[in-house]
Amino acid sequence: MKNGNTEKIISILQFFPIIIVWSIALGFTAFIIYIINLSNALEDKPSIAIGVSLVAIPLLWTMASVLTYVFVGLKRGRKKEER
Amino acid sequence: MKHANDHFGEDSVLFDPIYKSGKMFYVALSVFLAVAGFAVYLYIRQYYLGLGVTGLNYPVFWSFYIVNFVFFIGISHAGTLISAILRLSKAEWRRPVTRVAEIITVIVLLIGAIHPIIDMGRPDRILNVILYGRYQSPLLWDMTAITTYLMASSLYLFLPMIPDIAMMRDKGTKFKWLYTILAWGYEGTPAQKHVIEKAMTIMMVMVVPIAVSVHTVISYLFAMTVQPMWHSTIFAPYFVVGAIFSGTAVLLIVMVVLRKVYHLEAYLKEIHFKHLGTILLVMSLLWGYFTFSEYLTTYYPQEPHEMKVFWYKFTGPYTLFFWGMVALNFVIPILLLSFKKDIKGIFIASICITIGMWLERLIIIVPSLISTRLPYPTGFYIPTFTEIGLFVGGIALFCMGYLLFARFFPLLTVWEVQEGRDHGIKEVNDRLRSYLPDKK
Amino acid sequence: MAKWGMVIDLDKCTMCGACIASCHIENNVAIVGPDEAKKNRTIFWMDTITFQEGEHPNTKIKIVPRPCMNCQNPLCTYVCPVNATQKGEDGIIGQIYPRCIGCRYCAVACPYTVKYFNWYKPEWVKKFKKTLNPDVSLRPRGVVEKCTFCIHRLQKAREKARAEDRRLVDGDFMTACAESCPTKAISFGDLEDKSSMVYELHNSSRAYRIFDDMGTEPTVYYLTEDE
Repeated sequence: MKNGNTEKIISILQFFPIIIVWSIALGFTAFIIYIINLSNALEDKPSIAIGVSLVAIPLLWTMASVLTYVFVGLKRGRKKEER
Repeated sequence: MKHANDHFGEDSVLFDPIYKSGKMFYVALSVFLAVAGFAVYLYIRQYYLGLGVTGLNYPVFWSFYIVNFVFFIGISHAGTLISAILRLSKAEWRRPVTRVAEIITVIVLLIGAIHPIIDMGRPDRILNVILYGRYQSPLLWDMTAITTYLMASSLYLFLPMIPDIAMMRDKGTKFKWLYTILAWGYEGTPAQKHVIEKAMTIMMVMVVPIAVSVHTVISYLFAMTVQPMWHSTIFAPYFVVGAIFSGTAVLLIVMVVLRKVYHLEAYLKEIHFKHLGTILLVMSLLWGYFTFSEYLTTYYPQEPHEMKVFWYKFTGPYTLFFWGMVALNFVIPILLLSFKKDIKGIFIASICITIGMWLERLIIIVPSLISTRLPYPTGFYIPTFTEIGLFVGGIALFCMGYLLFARFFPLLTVWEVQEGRDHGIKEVNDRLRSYLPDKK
Repeated sequence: MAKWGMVIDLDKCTMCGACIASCHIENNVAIVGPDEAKKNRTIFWMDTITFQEGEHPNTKIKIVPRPCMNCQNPLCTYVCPVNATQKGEDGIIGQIYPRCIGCRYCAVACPYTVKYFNWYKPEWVKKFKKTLNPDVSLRPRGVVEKCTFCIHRLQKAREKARAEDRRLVDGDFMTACAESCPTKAISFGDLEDKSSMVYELHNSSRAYRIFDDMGTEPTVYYLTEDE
């Protein structure tokens, strides 16, 4: 019982970096979309924001995906006998 | 003599800082903590009184803090970039160097990222950048690039650390709960190894352009204005070269210190210093080349506004700094690295370069602001105690970060060293054979 | 749409400094103490620049009053990260003090160096506190400020014209410096209004702009015979 509990806490804590990375990636995406809308509304120049977003968003998403891939891959790649 | 961590086998000395830290650790930590704490006090004082406590004034709106910002972010290029390039090019001597470099990147990036906030007149309005942000401003490009780079270099530090953490989880005696969490259930099965290798390859490829973009964008902070001697197309590559240059120098300093403090003589050998010294020499020549073309293109057409800044640096009040920079970045390192290429010579050259590169940023930023386009009376700038204190605090923070990292994680990539010992030699043999003409 | 501009006749300027003084009083520009002044931290929305021409015995001194150039292609607004300095509908570059984060990028980017920063909280001696202009907001510590072509007067003039049910005419909107100039060296008005005085003056052959070749399109013109 106690063992199962600690394992649960551990797996929750292990999931933490994934949450952080994705919240940065998604947060930034939301921010850039907001900025593009804002510069449209203010008749500013949205072109630069769009240019930056085309580079930054795929990069952040790729990095978040890489970390998720490692997380899932390590979970799957465990020794079979433990089950 | 029996060590507490003998079960780590051959490489047990790498785990000494974690399992056998003595009094010195706490003494050093408290010294750094005191200095950093004093810097925090200075900043809080500045926060309440206003930026008037600095030496900034009417034409010199930017100086010490922005110099430090560029300086710290510049150092961050040591790590990830060098480590990624060395790994990608399969340089076998990289194995003990990579993590030392990556740690520098992450810590220094965090310190550098604080500097624009320190420099702000109204840090309480920082949220305005999000609420009313405009991507037309290069400051936001910086923010984006630094965020991306911080994320990339943290991942790039973390991924190769997983096998080492798992090793400490299985064999270590301390902080087992921490390592269990961070190891992500790594057990060294072939499938898991494959996952990490694949992820690392993706990160290696991604980190290089991101790192280059960071200092490119920082140079745009200056190059996008029309100020004389800032508005220059060469600035982006010039800054990137300078960043890698100063980063390599700091990496070498850190390596010398670690070697002494943590007794890593067996791992960080003279040959590693020599190889990095060669990189340093190349970067020094490249830096000299860029500086030469930058100043010659300014001098030749004799444009009056640019010449005002030019003479200000060459013969004016900044003479000492300018020629000091040339000596420290170019003359002394090239002499030392060509004729006295041992650890001591490389160490002295690295210290010279670190100081010289700080001066280079000062030389770029302040004279352009002092010599305004319109003929106002020439400005002046003398830093105050607050600014110097915050710089020293930043360095203390860096040392503290490194010390704390060393307390929890091995400073060298243990599995990479072991892998080199077990498989690397054979692999290199095979690879070398594949380069040569096939036997008939 | 009006295009507000200023024409300064350098041949008429006597360097009396009335524009500077009236600007200080009109716009609640903080008066820093002598210690701060020694550190180059005085604030002048309207300042004078001294050009020195020729070598020592045959020197010629030229003094030029310098407000904000109110460029039509304003480099300072490009770099602001929070839209705190922007070109308004009237073509006047405004500063939004409550939004400014104090990064001073605009001050650095301005080729004319017309922006000033509040290094400490601005304070006034008692006597001056009573004479503060209620139309102009007091700046807090840590923000950038500059000449705004007395934009508060434009707002007032426009309200007045609307109340009287007429259009703005030349002379309704005057900056403090133009109003106080004893030799009428500074004139101010709509550069696109063909009946205005500035229209005629800025088209004269004596007119020039500072760094005209830089493409900033300043709306402050200078008139001078020599050059």
